[in-house]
Amino acid sequence: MQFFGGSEISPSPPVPTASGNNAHMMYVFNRNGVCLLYREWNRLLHTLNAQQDHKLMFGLLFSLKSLTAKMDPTNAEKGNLGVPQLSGQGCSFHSFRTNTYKLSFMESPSGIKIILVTHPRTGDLRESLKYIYNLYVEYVVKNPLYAPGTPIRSELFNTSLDQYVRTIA
Amino acid sequence: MCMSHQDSIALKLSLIDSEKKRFPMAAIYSLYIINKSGGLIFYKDYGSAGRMDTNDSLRVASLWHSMHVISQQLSPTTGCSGIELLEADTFDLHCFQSLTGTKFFVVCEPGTQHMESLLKDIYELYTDYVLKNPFYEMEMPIRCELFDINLSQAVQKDRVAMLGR
Amino acid sequence: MAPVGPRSGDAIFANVERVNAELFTLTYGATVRQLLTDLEEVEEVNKQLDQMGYNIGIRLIDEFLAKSNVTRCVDFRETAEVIAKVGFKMFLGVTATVSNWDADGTCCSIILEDNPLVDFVELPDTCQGLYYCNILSGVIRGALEMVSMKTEVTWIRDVLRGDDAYELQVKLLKQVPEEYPYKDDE
Repeated sequence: MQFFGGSEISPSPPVPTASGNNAHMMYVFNRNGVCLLYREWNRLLHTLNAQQDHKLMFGLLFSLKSLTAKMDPTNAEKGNLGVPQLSGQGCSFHSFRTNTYKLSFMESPSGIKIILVTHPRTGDLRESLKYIYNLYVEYVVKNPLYAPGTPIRSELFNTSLDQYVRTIA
Repeated sequence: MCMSHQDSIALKLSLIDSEKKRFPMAAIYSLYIINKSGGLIFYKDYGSAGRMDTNDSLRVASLWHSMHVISQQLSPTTGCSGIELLEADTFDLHCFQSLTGTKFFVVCEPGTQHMESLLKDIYELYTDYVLKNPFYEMEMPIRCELFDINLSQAVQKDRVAMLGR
Repeated sequence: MAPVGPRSGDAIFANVERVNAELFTLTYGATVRQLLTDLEEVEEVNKQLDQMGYNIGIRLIDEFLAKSNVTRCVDFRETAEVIAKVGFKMFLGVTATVSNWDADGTCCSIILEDNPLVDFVELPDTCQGLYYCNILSGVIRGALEMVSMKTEVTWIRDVLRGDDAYELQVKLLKQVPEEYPYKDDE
């Protein structure tokens, strides 16, 4: 008999790098700039209302990407600053750090952007963001009642996210 | 017997030449200095592919200036002073902002060490050879030969230090 | 960190949870049958199957990307190969081949020798216009649209209609670059 289909959350999560309360917040955007998810664990400062905050965050990522695509020192054929890129095209970035926080960023070729803001001394979270992308696939994308492109309201996803984030930052 | 300053520099430079053959990649790609209103006042390219023309470098500088401000507004806690390190796919960007609002940033190979101290050194050179020069107009593009000379020495020295690791 | 290449279809297929193939095939058959009853027109059923496939495709793409480690889909040629070699293997357990490229590399055929959807199926005379596997063309169209490739997917050959293989033609209409999504309305 032949079998196919189905899945589990693989690969298994990367080994915990920290334990504590060092994660501040997380954003998930789709490629149309819709904020699908915003989680906040430990954020003392709110300078803007939620909607402006999300928009500013998306704008920052978008502009930083056009900046890194233009600055790429290994590529001579880059076109002008801000020239529209196909998603996955051009040099992107995976994190930046300020004195008060570190922002880790990943983007799937389908335009899903996952942003995790943690303590400035957090290590490389690239594998962890990939794992979160897998959680998103399992708990959100595969939920037949979830309408793609709408804000995520899944307790199961939130809970597993909270648990997981606690192990990495 | 002791080597003169000139000799020691010559020696270092010849060292760099021989090392360059073994490690053809430049560790530092470029350096930018931006004044407090986001205007580019200095840009030097150390061998990146497809270096930028004046227009592009001006636009990149002003974009970086605003990204730097926005990153402060998004901080989860108070006291944020902007992006210090940006890790891109093919390069790292280290940025140092003086208390007076002048920004210095280097673009280098991913994982290059000691860039913070190099930026501090460059800041000192800027105070010595740019700000103290009575003919330098504040906030205007830097055209100071002494700064150029000392800067290239600092960058070379940094390369030697890195290769000596 | 060295870039991780895409995982092979076999490797992913070996690691996913399975479901009984017959159950899947029978479920699909029952679905098609029900659509024929509800919609009456074969043409409408073709459309509906394509739409259902599209809805699946726009979700499935993320699972595919998450599990396969594919990080860019910019080149259409490469993308077609990955669909055939990794995508079909991962979700259907079969391998497809890509051929019949046109000169400018925007149109190709994906050919399936084996198709688990059609086990046990004999197309009755009343359904000759039916593209029984039309859900597949929708899946491909939906998935590619999510990676910014607008395509047109049509059946060229269908074993159920007497051909010797299943052949889907995938035609790239355009690639949509990312644009800043907000109007400056502040």
